[in-house]
Amino acid sequence: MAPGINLQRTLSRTVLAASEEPQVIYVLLEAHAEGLVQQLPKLPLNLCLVIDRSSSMRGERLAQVKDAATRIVDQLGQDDHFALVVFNDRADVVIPAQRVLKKPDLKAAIGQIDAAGGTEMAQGMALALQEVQRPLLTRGISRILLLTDGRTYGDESRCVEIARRGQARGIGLTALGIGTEWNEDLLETMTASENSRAQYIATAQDVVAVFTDELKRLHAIFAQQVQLRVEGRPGAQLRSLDQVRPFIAPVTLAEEADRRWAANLGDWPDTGVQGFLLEVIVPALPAGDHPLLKLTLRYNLPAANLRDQVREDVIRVSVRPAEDVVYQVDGTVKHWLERLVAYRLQASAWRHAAEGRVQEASERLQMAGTRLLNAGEASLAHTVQQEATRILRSGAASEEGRKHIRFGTRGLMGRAIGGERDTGA
Amino acid sequence: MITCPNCSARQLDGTIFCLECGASLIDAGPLEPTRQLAMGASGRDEKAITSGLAGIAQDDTGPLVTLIVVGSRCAIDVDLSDEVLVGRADPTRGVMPDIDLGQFGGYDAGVSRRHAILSYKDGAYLVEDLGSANGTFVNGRQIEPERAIKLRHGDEIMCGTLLLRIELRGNQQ
Repeated sequence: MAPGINLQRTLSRTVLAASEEPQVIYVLLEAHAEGLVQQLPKLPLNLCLVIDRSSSMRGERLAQVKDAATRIVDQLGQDDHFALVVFNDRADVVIPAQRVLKKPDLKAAIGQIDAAGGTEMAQGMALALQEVQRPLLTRGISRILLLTDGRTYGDESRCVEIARRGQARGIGLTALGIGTEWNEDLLETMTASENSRAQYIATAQDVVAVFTDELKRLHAIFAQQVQLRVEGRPGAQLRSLDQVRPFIAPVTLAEEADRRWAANLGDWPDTGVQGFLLEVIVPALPAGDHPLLKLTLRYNLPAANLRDQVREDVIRVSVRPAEDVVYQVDGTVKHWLERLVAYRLQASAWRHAAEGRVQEASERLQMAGTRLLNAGEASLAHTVQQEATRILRSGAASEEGRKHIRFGTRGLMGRAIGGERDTGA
Repeated sequence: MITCPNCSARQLDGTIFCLECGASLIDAGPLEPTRQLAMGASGRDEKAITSGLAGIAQDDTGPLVTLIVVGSRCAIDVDLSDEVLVGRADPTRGVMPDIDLGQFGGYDAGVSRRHAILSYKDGAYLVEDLGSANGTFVNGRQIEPERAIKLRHGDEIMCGTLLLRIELRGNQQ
């Protein structure tokens, strides 16, 4: 079998009751690599680490980060590029972008980093973008890996702007926040794009594991510039598209034309499953079988020198007279939707809290807790319920609790990227 | 359209979780309210329970009570000549309680599939929690599982967070 992407889909309901009204159906798309893509040569990596070396990083945190950076160098090969930028009140290029040829020299440079001063992230990001664009790669994966433990003041919008500039050129950003002091709004905004994500590292001991996992994921990338196009039948509407596996992330939909939507889904590793949930409004239809959506997945397989590979699928719905239809919802679709709803509820809770609507914020969190409980996330549900009570009593959630919930509901907490666990359905 | 049992928002048929408040709409279903009640009242003994909307039970032999689902303002007439199981229907696991609170948002309120038993013994109306996950409360106090508690007219019974009120008829002391 030729290497490529296998696409499977599950509908929330297989049979719809005929109705005069439009109704909602959810489509779970699950994609994985097929056809021995592991045998394709690895794509070269072009990685720039951006390390916060403000004084709060002193001690265990910086020691773990240096250890993690050293291990990254160990795992890179001669075809890979590596650069290291550090920042406090100013930014410095410690290792200019270069092929990974003299590992001992690179490690010695990493060992020299010490902690002092404040946090001015934009300078570090600007230098990183400059370094990561130096190597002239005909193909490969360029990424900036940012680690910070503090708040940057006054240059937030520049940070976002630099991140966007990189993302527009295919340079993804992984932003890791350690401890409880960093600005999660900023890191989430900077990484709200394909090939990018923020992750919460609660304890320094997790740093090495998180860096190692990230490198593994980057090395496993086989498909690039994956794009999904969705065309609907007259009256059909694609209400939303969200990634649910391996972690939850809203996907930006561009409405290219009437009833035609497109989304960029970034680069995909050949490990695990990429899962997406589509919310579709089905127009009123008579009994019978009807095509609802046409999906087109387009992607490149650079290691096999294949561009514009296409996989198509037509989703059909079966409509029957209402009296013949038993209302039944697919358990797997419901499971991922329930987790997505929990994520959306907590996001709405923080918006309410920011506007001083404490009661609404607490109710949203309570409901998020219920959803998580049903989705089998008992410990996270407990944290959510604690913060729901706290917000009602004191008007605000704890820094730690909020980060835990924001990143926990997305599956971006600690060492593991969520979704690797069973669906629990 | 479906009406959310939690926030009353109107949602399209097929919506699984309310877009406004996030409550589960699976139990709300796109059915008529009268039909819901009839379905909820189905059980081991069809005659034992009749819906409030279907009229007062004809035979006045058994001890009759009315359960009010406070949030939904629904009344369910219950005949306690036999024990009555209160819970949340789960057809896939074969659990069909006599009184199905699923249709009143029981899933979100934390009602267990087998939550509590209502009964009438020696002139007393009783409720017994069946070791439910989220507990049964009478007038705000959690009752011990597996131990029947006497009920009086107007008592509030909470299954999880779903509030019910019991009205005793013919014996309203």
